[in-house]
Formats: sequence, structure tokens, C-alpha cells
Amino acid sequence: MSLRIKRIVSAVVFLSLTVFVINWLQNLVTPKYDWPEHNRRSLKSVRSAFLEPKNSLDAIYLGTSQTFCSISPMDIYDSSHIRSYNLATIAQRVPVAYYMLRGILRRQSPKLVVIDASGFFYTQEELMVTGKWEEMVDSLPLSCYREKLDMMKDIAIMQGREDDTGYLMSAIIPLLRYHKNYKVKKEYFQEHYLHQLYQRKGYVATYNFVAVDKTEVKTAKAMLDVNDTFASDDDKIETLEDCIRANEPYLEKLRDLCHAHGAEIAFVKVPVCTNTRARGYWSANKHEMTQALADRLGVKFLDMCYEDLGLDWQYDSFDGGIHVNHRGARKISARLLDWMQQEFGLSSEPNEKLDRQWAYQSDVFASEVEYLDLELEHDLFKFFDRVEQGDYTLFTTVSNGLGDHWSDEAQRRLEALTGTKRDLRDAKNAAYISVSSHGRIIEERHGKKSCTIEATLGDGLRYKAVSKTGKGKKNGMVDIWGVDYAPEGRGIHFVVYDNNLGCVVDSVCFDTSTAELTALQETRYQYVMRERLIEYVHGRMNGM
Amino acid sequence: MDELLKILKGICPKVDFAKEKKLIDDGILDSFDIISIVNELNEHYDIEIDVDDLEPDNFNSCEAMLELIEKLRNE
Amino acid sequence: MNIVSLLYLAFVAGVALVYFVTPRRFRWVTLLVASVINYLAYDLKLAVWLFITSLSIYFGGLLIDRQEQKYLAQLKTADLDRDGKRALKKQNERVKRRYAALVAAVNIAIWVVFKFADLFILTLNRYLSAEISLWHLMLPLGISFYTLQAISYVMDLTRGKCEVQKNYCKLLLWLCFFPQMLQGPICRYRETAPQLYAPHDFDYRRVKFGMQRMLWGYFKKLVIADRVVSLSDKIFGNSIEYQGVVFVVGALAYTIQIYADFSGGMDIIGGAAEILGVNMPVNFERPYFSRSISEYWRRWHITLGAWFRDYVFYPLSISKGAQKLSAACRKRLGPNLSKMIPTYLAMVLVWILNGIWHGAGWQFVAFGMYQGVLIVLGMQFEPVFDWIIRRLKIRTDCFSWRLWQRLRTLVLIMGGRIIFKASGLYEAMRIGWSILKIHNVWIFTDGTFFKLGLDAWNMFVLFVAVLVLLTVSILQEKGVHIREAIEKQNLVFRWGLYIAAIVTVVLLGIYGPRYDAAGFVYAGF
Repeated sequence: MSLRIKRIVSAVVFLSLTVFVINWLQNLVTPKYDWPEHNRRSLKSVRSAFLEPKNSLDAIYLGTSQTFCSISPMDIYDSSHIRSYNLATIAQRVPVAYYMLRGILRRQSPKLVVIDASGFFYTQEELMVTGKWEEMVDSLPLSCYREKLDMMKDIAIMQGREDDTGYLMSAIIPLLRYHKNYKVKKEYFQEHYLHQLYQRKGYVATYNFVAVDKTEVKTAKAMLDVNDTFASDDDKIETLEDCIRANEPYLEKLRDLCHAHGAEIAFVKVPVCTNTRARGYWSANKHEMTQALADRLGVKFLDMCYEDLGLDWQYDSFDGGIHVNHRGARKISARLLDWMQQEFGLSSEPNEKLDRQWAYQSDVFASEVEYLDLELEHDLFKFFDRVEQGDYTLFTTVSNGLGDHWSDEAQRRLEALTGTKRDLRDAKNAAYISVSSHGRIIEERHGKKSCTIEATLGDGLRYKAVSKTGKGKKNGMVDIWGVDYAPEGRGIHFVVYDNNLGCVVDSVCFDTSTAELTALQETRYQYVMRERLIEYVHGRMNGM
Repeated sequence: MDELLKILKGICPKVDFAKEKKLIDDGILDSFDIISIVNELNEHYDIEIDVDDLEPDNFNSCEAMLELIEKLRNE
Repeated sequence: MNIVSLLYLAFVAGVALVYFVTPRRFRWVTLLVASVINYLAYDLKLAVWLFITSLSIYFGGLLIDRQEQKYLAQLKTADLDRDGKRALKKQNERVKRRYAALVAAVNIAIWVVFKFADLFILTLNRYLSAEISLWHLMLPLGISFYTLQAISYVMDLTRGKCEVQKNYCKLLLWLCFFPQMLQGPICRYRETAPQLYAPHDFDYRRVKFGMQRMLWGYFKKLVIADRVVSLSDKIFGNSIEYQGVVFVVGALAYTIQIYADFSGGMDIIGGAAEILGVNMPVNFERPYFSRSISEYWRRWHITLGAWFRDYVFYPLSISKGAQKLSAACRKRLGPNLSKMIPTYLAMVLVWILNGIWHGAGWQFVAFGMYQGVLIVLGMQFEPVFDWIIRRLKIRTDCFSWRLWQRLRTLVLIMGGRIIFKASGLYEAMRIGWSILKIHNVWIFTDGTFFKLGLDAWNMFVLFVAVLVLLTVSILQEKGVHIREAIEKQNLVFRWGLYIAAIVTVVLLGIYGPRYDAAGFVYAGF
């Protein structure tokens, strides 16, 4: 080989080696926006969306965290076979949504784009928070390099660094921005939830409920009747007008973008509660301004805050009024579907391959939802229904005595469920523990003041259960492999252990000293359960 | 030559002018030494060493300096 | 164009590509076009001043050459005796020098206006209670450098040390060759011009060496200089809050920063020029290994020192006026001292000019004076030191002595740095006093050390990087040619080293949005 050729070859090889090393480093230090403790899973939805088959989506949803908690495309699909995707992300700014949509529209041709008005009220300053732009730039795939560069240019102009080529190039080479990140905790760079969102289609399902002060909650109908404002005099008209002014140009661009791609665009507002907690998230002023904006742009607007969707903010929201959980999402999705079908005549064309795919994913989603529904169940009898249907081992303990409202019906159901022969109506002030599975008692103990079981189940599961009477907050314990899963509160406690997943999947306390039998969740089990559930779903999705 | 060496030794006693051939290039003589040498040579030989003559080639060795002196004398 | 930017890398690569495919005859034109584009890209309006300077030296050069030709013709035709020849020569010199002085004066005037207009206005305002608003002039790129370079051309031409350039474009290229516009070096016509005009072929080894040198420069600039700047900026910027040893840390930091920044820039520039086949003059030769202040100034910013030496110091110290002064002082101060007086004065002037060249302010003059005084004292006290050494029987031929000399020089240099970096003369004195009086060594152990601008990790990286720099410098001082030495090693070692260096710069370099890479220390001059 002549010297010249040798040199060219060695130069090329050297270059490739360098590029390879730099690329590897880049993957190492670029955050994956997948930090569980910061709840940033939602950006994975953007990556997953680009993996959907081309031109398979009929509708796309944009918006903020309220949106991705409220709209479940799979539920919509189950009712109507309409395929949609939830591309809402945390605190999504309208300009960021615009660029993201531009990117996704290279692969998809939806008939309808719905954007939630929660994101319309960011101030100009808030719009310019570069982190929110950068995370989208980094989450878009390389094929959307045009969007990446345009976004980077926008931020550069905002920061006054338009001539910093390195900064602009960091759109495509994020290493230039993150090269100092080797000092950050390693958790930030691991991928946690791999395919979690495929079958959820961008929807983030949650499974908790917390106490809400019912006196504060006004129904939507009541509010419309009395012409009540939603919330405060906290929002000043000038500030809101500034926000609208800042966001309107991009909403116009969004509208034009949709029309250019043959899609309709609609505004929506998902419900928030009227209590103190959710104050500031929506108001009559915001409603009016959004309606005016919608009229100006010629866009239809559905404000679900003023509609009666049958939301029970006690049990349908996981944070006391701002975001709904899966129960709430079902109701909202149903209403949205109705509206989309009526107002826009949205429907889906049957496509054998796609329908097969979605049907399978729907199946996987349904098996996930079973667990979610169990966790969300706050009605004692319905809870019993669900436990009966699954392959569970049930740990039942009584804490601080049952009190006066343990009914005959409840007793009968418990006997059927666990196979117990003991009448708990005798246990008003006594302690009781049972471990059962498939309608048969495995272990049972009772005592006047307290009782304990420490044993190992057939498949090697070591546990210790304690029940006590008294006045303290926590007088029951169910310790499995060193972790106590029992909830707090008085009444009858259930810890549900799934024999297939190999972990606890629910822990709930029903307060039998009150007539309502209020349910109280314990969420400690959720961390392990999520992991197991993901592995399980992952396994099933891979089989697709 | 001996006369020249004596003068040079008087200015910079630590330098071996007979041996060194790169007095400027190797930094053995610095700018102050040059000025002192130039002043001395001007006085002693009644010549006018000009700024134009301050080239490394003219001062790198005692032979070069002698050459310069001769040239200037003859002008 | 910021030399620490992807744009610059792309620019150099682009120019090199075009250069090597252009037909040989026109290669210098490529360089000219690139240089002009680079200059215009900085600021279109200010570029006019560069063109004015280039035109002034072009026409000045033509005039000087014409005078020389006239003289040579006269010498041949006229039949003159020795004295007549001498007189003609003198007259020729006078005319040429007048032209040169005119050109120099014009260019210096331009430079003075740009640099000192605001200072002048401020002084006027203060002493005449006037309220003239400042002009806030933006300096043309590299004016302090190219002005000196331009003057060197006409001076060299006058002294017959270089040829006249009759092609304006070629002369312009020499003046505005793009690598040297930001921070120099200040090149002499006969050094770089021939290289610029001669066509260079693509030589694999030379291009490779050039790229390696650029990489080394980026390492120094991005990993060391831009990192340590946090220390020096914080300490000197908030000097009210600190005292004692902290300022020593700050001075050391600034000392390292300014060297890494400036010499790193030189490497980037030199490497880029090397790729294009042009060898730029050396501007730094491991200055911190100097054993005396005089030596230091022969190793630091070499081209600037050489310029002052050749065009201010030498002309002044061997001029007629100098000799007259010397004679006048003989009676009062004795023969030895009187001989040195003009030299000392010339040197003081050079140092004042050097200070002023760096900045418009009294502290810069003080900085210059500080250096000058140290040199003068060093020279005057040399016999005294020698005597002490002899009496105490100190060995001077050993490593420990040389180390002592180096450390002593370094301390003096750091003192100069404090004067340079402090926010004013008074501040510098306060800092110096604080160092002498307060000995708060506990800052190294009580955690304050890591709050001076760099956290522990960055301190560590800095320490290792400086160690690398020190090692390389020691090797170079011993005469090892680093790039050639590496060349001789095995492929795996070489490639591993190169990739490691690239990764180090990319990963550990201070750049990107969350930092603002410190502006070049010598830019804006």
C-alpha cells in the first residue's frame, strides 16, 4: 500500500475512533430526563412517540402535567378505536410544544391536535427558562435536527448569544452543554423506565388519592349557577394579558402548522378542583381570556372545569385537587372523546396491522390497569370484589379495634374472601390477624389486646404481622422481608401481596369506626411494585 | 584581536569571547552588554556603530565584531 | 472571531482546504482573502483603520525605496571622495528616517487616540471640571499589535534590513494575516513575509504537527486558563473580603492564568499558521523558568520585548544624545555609572512604554516601572551579590542554586502580577501590605481554600493539568521536542494520547453556556 493511501486510511480510522469515543462520552453525560424522584418520566413520552408507526395517529394532545394525567389515549382507543397520543410534558411551554409538534408532524398526520390551556399562562420570563427548551431539544430524535437547531437559535437569541456557534451546535451535540456533568449523580444518567409509556401512549397513570377538604369543593354546576369565580383575585388582569400576549404568536403558529398539515386544532382545559390547593390553576379570568383568544384564532375551546363530569376530588385526584389519578382520567378522557367525536367528527380508519398492534397494547395496558384499579379502590365491597378476582395473598390486621361500623355484610364478605370462621363483630376492641389466599386461611390469630404472627409462607416468604389495640396512630404491622407495609389509621387493614409479581400491590385501611368506611392508602409498597410491573410489562411488550 | 578581547573581557569578565561563536543567538550577551560593548568600541576605535549595525551576525563572535570594526573604519 | 470556538476551527479547516487546492501561484491570495474576511467579520467600520495603516506603510515604503534608489544612483554617477560619500550617506539616512518617522507618527497617533481618548477626556473632566462625555471608542482588532508591526516594516526598510514590497496586496497580507490579529505575535517583515508569499504544499507531517500544537493550545486555554480564571477573578474582584495568603493564591492563580491563556493562544495561532506552512516567531519560552528578571523579559512576550529593544532601546542608548548625556554625567557620577546612565534612562522609558502599551492607567505605568527598577537594581547590585556569594561560599553551579534563582524570580514576577491585576494602584499596595502582614495559612485546612472560586474537584483537575504543563515545560527546557518524541512511539500510545487529549479538552474544558469563557487577556489591546 502506498504511503499516501496508508495515511488517508489511518486518518479516517483515527477520526472514526475519536468520534466514537466522543459519542460514548456524550451518552454518558447527557441527562436522560428520567429521574424518578423528580418525576420527569414524562419526557420519555416524546421519545416513545417517535417510535409509533408512521401516520398511525388520529389525534395528538399537548399540554402540561395536568394534561398528561388527565387524558388516556388507550381508554379512548378502547371506546372508539381512535388512535391518539398524549404528548403533554411537565410545564410545557407553548413555543416548546410548537417545535415538538413540528417534529412529530414529520411522521404523523393526525386529524386533530388538542392543546390544553394550562400552558397558556406562562409569563414571558417563564417562557424563557432555557432548561425547559433544552430538555426538549435533547429529547427529540436526531431526525428532527431542524427543530433542534431552531429551538437552540430561539434560546440563543433570548440569551443574547446568537453568535456562539458552540451553543448552537449543542443542539446536535449536547456534549457541548453537558460536558461538565460527570460530577452529577449517576442516577441521572441511567434509564429507568424503558418502555413504560408505549402502551400508555404518553399518559401518566397515577394510583393514589389523598384527603381533600370537601367543604371547599364546589361542583361545576353550582359554580355556573351562582356565576362564581373559580379562584382568587390572585391573578391580575394585566399579568394574564401579558401572558396571553407572550403566548399568542406561538399559538397562531401552532394553528397554522396544524392547518398546513391538514389537521384541526382545538383548545381544552382539563378540570382542576376549586379548593385552596388548586387555587390559581384556573379562574374565571383565565377562562374568559382563553375563550377570547380562541375566538380570535378561530379555534374551538372546551373548558371542562365548568362541566360536571362526576369527579370526586377525594378519590379521583392524587394531590388533592390539581392532578387527577386514573379514575379521574377515565372520566375526563370519556368526556374529551365525546367532544372530539361530536365537534370534529373524529373517527378512525380501520387498519389491520395497526389495530392488531393497538389491541395487543391495549391488552397489556388492561393488565396494568387491574393493579391500578385495585390500588385506587376505596369502596370496601368493591375492594373485596377485586381481591377475589386475583391471585393474591391477603394480610388482614385490625388496628385499634374495629369500632362500631363493622357490618354484617362486611363480615359475610370477609368470610367468603378469606375463609375465616371468626366473627369480627366480637373484635370491636380486640386484635386480629389473618393471612389468607384464594379463600382459605393460612394463619390466623386473635387476642384481647394484641397478637402476633411470625412465619414463613410456603414459597419462602418471611413475614411478621402484629395487631394491637390502643389509641396510637399505627397499631398494626405487616412486615414482609424487613419492610413494614401496613397502613396507618384505625380500622381494618389489608395488605395485598401478588403471588405472580412477587411483591405487595396494595395497602389500604378502611376506617370502620366511621359509617363512610373512609379508605386511607399506604404507598410504601409502590416503589418495588412499579419496578416489578415494568419488568412484567416490558416482558409482554417484547413479545409483541 | 587581542586588544579587542581585552576590551570585551573588561565589560563581561564571565564570558569566554575567544571560544563562543553564538554570543547573541544563545543569549550569552544581553542587550545591556551589547550597548556597553558598542559604547566602548565606539570610543576606543573612533567609529560610529549605528543601530543598523546591531545585527546578530555582527556580534555573534569576536571575529564578527572585528570585521564590523574594520568595515566601519574604512568608511 | 474567537479563537476558542467551533467557528474558528471550521474557518481554519476551510482556509487550509482552499489553500491546498488553489494553484500554487495564487495560494498567497487565498491567505489574503481569508485574512481580509476575518478582519471585516470583526467590524466592518473599524476595518478602515487597518487599511489606512497598510496604505501608510505601503506609500511610506515606496517613498523610502525611491530615496534609496536615488542615493544609490547618485553614489554611482557622482564622483565623490570619502567625506563626500559619508555626507551623502548621512543625508540619505536623514531623508529615509524622516519618511519613516512620519509614517510611524501617523500610526502611533491613531493608536494613541483609540487607546487614550477616554483617559484624556476623564483627566480633562477632572482637572478642568468639564463635562465632556466619553467617546467609548471600540478598538480596531489588534491595533496595538499591527501598529507596532507596521512601524517595524518602515524602520527595517530604512535600515536596509528588508526589501520594499511593491505589491500592495502582498503587504496587506503580511500586515493582517489572520492568525496574528488577535494577540500577535508581532512579526518582522523578513521573517514571515517570504513564508506567506511562497506556496506551501500539503505536508502530512507539518499539518499533523500544526494540529497537535493547536490541541495543546486548547488544552492550556480551556482546561487551565479558563478554569483558574475563576480563582483570580474572584480573589481580585472581591479583594475587600480577603487578606494575606489568599492574595498569594490569587497572584499564583493569575500568574498561571495569564501564561496559560496567552501561550495557549499562541499555540493555537502558531498551530494554525503551521498548517498553512507559515512558522510564526516564538513568543514564549517557558518564562517561569527564568533565573532573573532580565531573562524573564527575554522569555515572555518575546516579540514585544524585541520590538522595544530594536526600535526604542537600541536607537536611544547608542544615539548621539545618549553619548552626550554620558559625557555630561562623567564629572559628577564617575566613569562607570555615567556610562550606564543613558542605558538606564532608555530602559526606564522602554518600561514606561511597555506599561502604557498594556493599558491606559497609572497602575500600568507602575507595572512597567516595577519591572524596570528591578532590572536596574539587579544590574547595579550584581557585584554586591557576587561578593555575598563569594563570602558565604555559596555554590552557584548546582540545581539548588538555580532553583533558588527561579523561585526568587517567580516571586518578583508575582509581585508584578498583583500590580497588573489589582483594580488600581492603591489596591495593589493594600494587597501587597496584606500579604506581608497577615499570615493566615489556616485557609488551606479550614475549607476556605475550596471556596475561593473553585471547588475541590476543579482544584484537583487544575492541579493535575498544571502538573502536565510543568512536565512538558521541563522536557522542552531540556531540549526535548515533544511532538517529535511522541512521533517515535508506538501507534497505540500515540493514538491513545491524542484521543485522551481531545477527550480532556472536550470534557474538562471550560466552555459552554453555564460558564462564560473569560475573554482573552490580551485581546482588546
